[in-house]
Amino acid sequence: MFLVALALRNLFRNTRRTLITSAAVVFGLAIQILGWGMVNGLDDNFLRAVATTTTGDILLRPPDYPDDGLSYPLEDAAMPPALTGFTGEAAPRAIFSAKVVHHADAARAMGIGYEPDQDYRVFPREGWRVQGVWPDKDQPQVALGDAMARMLGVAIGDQVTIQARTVDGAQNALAYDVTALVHTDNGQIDNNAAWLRMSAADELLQLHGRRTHIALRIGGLEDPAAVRDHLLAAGAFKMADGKSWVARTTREEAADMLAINDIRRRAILMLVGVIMAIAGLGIASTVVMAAYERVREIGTLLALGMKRREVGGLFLIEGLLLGIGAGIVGAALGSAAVIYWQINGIHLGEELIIANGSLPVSAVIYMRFTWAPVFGALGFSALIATLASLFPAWFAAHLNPADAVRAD
Amino acid sequence: MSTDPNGQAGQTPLCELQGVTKNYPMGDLVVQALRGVSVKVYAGEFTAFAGPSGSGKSTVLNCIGCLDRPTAGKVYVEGQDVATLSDGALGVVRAKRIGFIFQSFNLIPVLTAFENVELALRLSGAPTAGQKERVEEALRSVGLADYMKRRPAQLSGGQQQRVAIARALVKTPALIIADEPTANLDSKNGAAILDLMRSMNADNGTTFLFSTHDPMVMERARRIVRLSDGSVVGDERHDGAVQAASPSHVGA
Repeated sequence: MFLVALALRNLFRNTRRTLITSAAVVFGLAIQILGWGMVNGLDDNFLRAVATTTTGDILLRPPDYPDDGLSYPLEDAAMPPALTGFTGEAAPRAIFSAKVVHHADAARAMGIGYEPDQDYRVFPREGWRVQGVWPDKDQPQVALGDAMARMLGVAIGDQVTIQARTVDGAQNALAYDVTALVHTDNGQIDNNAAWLRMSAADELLQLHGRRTHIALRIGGLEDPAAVRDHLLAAGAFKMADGKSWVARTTREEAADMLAINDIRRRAILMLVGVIMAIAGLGIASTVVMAAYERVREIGTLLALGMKRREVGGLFLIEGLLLGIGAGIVGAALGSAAVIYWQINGIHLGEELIIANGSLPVSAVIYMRFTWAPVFGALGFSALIATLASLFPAWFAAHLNPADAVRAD
Repeated sequence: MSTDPNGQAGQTPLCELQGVTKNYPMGDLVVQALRGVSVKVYAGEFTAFAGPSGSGKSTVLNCIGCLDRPTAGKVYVEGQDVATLSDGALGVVRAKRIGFIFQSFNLIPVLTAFENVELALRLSGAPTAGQKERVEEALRSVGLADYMKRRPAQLSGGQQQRVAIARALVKTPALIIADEPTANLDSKNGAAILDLMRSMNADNGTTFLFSTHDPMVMERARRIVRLSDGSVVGDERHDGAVQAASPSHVGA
C-alpha cells in the first residue's frame, strides 16, 4: 500500500507529462468502447430492421428455396406446413419479384403478398409512418414503400401497374390504386416493397394457396433457436409430402451482415492496437524518464534498505497506475458517450438510407453499451502499461546504490 | 596491522576493514580506488575519513555502509563479514544497522519530513506500534517539531539535512555514515549540523563516520583517518596525536 501511495505521488511530480501520456490511453480506450458500442448498435439496427419487416423471430422457407435474399422464385413456393404445436403468431407471405410501372417510369420491386390479420400480429408496424390506408379487401390496391414512390413520382390515389411472373412462369400485369405510402424501420423495404393483400397477390401470381415465406413471432424471452429446434424435432414444419420447410432465426438470416460487423470490430481492435502501442511508448517514455531523473532517489531507497524488487515494483506500479488511471478515464468517457447515444440514437438521415437502398438498415442507430469492451479495454491498458514499465523497473532495480546515491 | 588509535584490549571493533582493495574497471583500464586498507572503528567514535578528491574516502564508507563490496579483503560490521553477503542481506544490514546522511540530503521530494523519517523506520522493519512517536521524537531532537508536514522543497538546506539526520537516527542504528554532510551547507548551517551530530555522539554514544575535506568537520572529529590514493596515510586522535600508517597500508 505504501508503494502504491508513493507511486501515485511520483506520477504527479510532472503533471503535464503525465497528462499528455494519459491522453493517448484515454483516447485509445474511448475510441475502442465507442466503436464497440457503435458496431453493437449496427448489429441491433440490422436485426431490428429485418425482424420488424421481413423475418419476425424465425423465417420459414419451402424446401430447396434459396436463402440469398435476392431471388424470389415462385416455382419453389409450397403449401404451408401445419405448424403443429406452435403457439406463437405466424404470417404466411408470398414474396415475389415485380416491376412497378408508373407512366413512363418503372422500378424493380419486391412484392409482398400478405394476410393482414396474421401479418399485423407478427409485424405490428410500430414506429412505421403510413400515409393513407392499407389496401382494402377485394380491391385492386397496393401500398408502396415511400422511397420508391418518391422515385417514381407516385402519390396516394395514383394508379400503378405491377408486372410479375405467375407461379407457372407466365407474365402478368395488373393495375392497382396506390392507397398507402409506407415508411418502415428498414431502408431496403422503403426503397423496394409493394404490399398486396394475399387475395390480390393470388390473382396476380396464381398461387393457389402456395406461399414462399412464413414469419414466426414467438414473443417473450424464449431463445428463437431453441424454439426452432424444438419445433423442427416435433415435425411442425413438415408438409404433406414429408418434406420440411427450412427455418432460420433472425440472427441466422442476418449472419452475413453480422459477419461484416465482426470485421468492423476487428478493424477497431487493430486501430486501437496502434493507438495503444503509441500510448505504450508514451508510458514507457514517461516511466523511463522518471527512472533516469530519479537515480539518486532510487539509490537512497536502496541505501535505506528497500529491496530491489520493491524498487522495481515501484516503477511497475507507477506505469500501471498511469495505464489504469488513464484507462478508467478513457473507459468512462467512452461509456458515457455510448450510453448517451444508446438513449438518444444517431440519426443517419433519410438521404443516406435512400442512397444505400439495398441495405436493410434503419435510419436511426442506437448504440449498445456492454461491459465486455470496458473490461477488455482496461485489461489491455493494464497490459500495455505493464509491458511499458518492465524496462524502467528492471533499470531501477539493478542500479548500484553506491553510485546511485551520488548521481546528479 | 591496522590503524587502531582508540583500540582497547578485549574490545571488539564495531566495524573493521582488513586489507580491503577496490578496483573499478574503466574501459580497458582498472582504477584502484582502495589499496589494501585496514581500519578498525569502535562504538561511540566520531571519526572522519579525510583526504583529497579521489583518495578513496567515499569508497571506504561505501564498503562499511554495505553499499558496495570490496574487490578483495574483508569488511566486518558488528563482527559479520558483510563482503560475502548477498544483495538482499546487505540491504537488511543497511536497513536495520546503518544510518546514512548524504551530501545532497537525498530526501524523497514527494514525502513530507515526517514521511521521510517514517520511511527509514518502516524499511528497518520496526514494529508499527510506536512508529509515529519515534518519528516525532527524532524530528524533535533535530529541532524540526514544527516542520514535520513540510516537503523538502519547503525546507532550507540546513533543515533538510536535519531531516536526514533524524532519518538516520530514528532506527537507532549501530553507526551513522555521513558522506560530506556539510558540503552543501553554508558555514553557519554546517557548524550547527556538526554540533548537533557531535552532541548526539556525546549524549547517546551514537557512532558517526564521516568522509570530508571540510576543516570544520575535522576540527570536531575525535579521530581523523587520512587517505591518499586509496591508502591510509595517517590516523589521528582528537588531541592531534598521529599514528603513522604502516607500509602495508600504502600501495597495493
